[in-house]
Amino acid sequence: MQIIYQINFIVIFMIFLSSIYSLVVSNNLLKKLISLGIMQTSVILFFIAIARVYDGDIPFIRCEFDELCDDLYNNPIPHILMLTAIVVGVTYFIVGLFMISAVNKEFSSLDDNAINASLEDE
Amino acid sequence: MINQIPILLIVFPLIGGCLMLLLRSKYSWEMSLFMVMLNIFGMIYFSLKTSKLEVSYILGDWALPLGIELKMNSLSLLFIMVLSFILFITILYSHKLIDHYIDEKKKVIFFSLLIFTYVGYLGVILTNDAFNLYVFMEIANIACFGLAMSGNSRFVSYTAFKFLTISIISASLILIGIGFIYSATGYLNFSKIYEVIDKLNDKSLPAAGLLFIFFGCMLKLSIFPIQQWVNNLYQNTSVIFASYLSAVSGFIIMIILLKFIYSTNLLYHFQDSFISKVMTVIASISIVICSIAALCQKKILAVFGYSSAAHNSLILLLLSIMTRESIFAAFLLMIFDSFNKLALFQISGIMTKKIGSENIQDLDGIFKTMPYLSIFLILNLLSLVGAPLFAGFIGKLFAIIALSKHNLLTIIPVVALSVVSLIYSLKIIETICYTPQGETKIYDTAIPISAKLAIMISTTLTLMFGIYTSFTINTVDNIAKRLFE
Repeated sequence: MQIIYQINFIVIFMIFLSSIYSLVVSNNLLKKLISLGIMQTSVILFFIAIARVYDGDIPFIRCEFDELCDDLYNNPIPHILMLTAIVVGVTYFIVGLFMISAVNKEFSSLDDNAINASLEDE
Repeated sequence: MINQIPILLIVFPLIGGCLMLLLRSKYSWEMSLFMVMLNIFGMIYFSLKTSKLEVSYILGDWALPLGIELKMNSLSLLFIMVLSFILFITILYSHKLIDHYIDEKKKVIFFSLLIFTYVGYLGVILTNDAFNLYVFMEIANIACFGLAMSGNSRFVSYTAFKFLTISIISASLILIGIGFIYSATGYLNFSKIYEVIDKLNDKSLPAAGLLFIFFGCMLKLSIFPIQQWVNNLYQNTSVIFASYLSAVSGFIIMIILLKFIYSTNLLYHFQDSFISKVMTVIASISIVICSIAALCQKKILAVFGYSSAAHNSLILLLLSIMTRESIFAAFLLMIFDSFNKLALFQISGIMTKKIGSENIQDLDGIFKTMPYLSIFLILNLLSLVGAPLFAGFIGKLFAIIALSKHNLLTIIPVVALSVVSLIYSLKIIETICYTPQGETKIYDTAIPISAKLAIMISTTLTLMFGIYTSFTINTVDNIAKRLFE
């Protein structure tokens, strides 16, 4: 029964695996880029899932006297770290879009198998 | 001033790179060369002026377990000098050659991206905080994508996209590993993790984190199932970036791995485990297959690409054993190989540019027309094979010592690697030195002095590491000792 308490980690792991499946199976370069973005999102969700403390409160001081409040707060540090990771993910996505547009300009298609075949022919 | 050296080493190139880009200066090559030399002289000044063992700089004066710390000691001195020299040789080499790839107005972007990769890798060496390491590594990676698009081939954007794919996957795996270690210990500072990790009863969480980081780093080296992307990248992008990336990326991956292995202190956990045996088998298969692939290639850049894949697999073989001698040998090999690969890619880049074709067959008789370059190519090929008096010999010697102490069967791939690399090196040397009977080809062989200087420096370093070995060996031995104290 313990594993049902880890349901959020199981779901995050499923998202990661499905993004890898989509990366391998897709023929279109844009779909591969989007599945890489989903992979990064799942890693960000993993950090947020770590940050939860059982019976933890939101990390704000909500009452005047400390004795009346809970002394268990959720950890805000992974949320802060993930702000940087989100920025990095957006930057990767933008750079990938530039590369895909350059591929499209050169080959006028985004078909991965076709471009790979012509690369191997060289 | 001495106390702030870690941050100054990072800030001056960063500000210089941003200023260069904002002002669109015409003197971008001179400015980037100035910034690297400033760093080199700063490091020499630091090492002469102080006898302290460690300098630690805390960013923003945030108190330690939560704050970010940059730490510099005598060991990171060697790493920073190697990185600065690699960048110095690359910038020297690219003085005239960059006109082949990029027109006059966009040169600023190329050099400022090179400086940003330098800042990123410096941050990786200097930082003492796990997430800060990830951030600096991402800065360097994203700058590398811009550099990867600087090529003349038709397929440059496609191979750069494959490079992006592999980088994103490896960065995500490293981030998951950092998350595991953070959730187990609660700290991100490497020194604090080292103190806290002994008190844990169940070490499976940080062990899993270390394994994720290991796989993330191994994706970026080119091991057998995934070795095609690196070779395609090296053939289609500019030679300047191919030589720089082959020299730097393996070196930085070793440093990242060493930082995590040292702080989590979990080598005994993995030493005779199942995963170590699986990795040994994969690495051996990869060495054999990549060497044989290098033998069958017709283009000279492809030969060096596959041979660098084979040498990286040798590094993985040494790392999978995880004893003190093998990590020492792996690190030594990585330092020596980086200068060797730098020189090999640079020489073959110039030769193929001047001749106009990339096949080995078209290189015949080039010893008469380009004697100096041919001699340097022969010297570097001898170091690749592992001839004595060169750096490759010392690296392979320690690799065989480390492997033989563990299990004698693992020497067989190393011997196969040396023999096969001897075969293709001799094939290249024979093609260079002997002309076919008949016509001798005439080429425009004016090679820019900066390129000659760059190749001379990297070859000299390869020779020097082979003859004066005590400095490198003592430093790397200190690193290996710290892992097992």
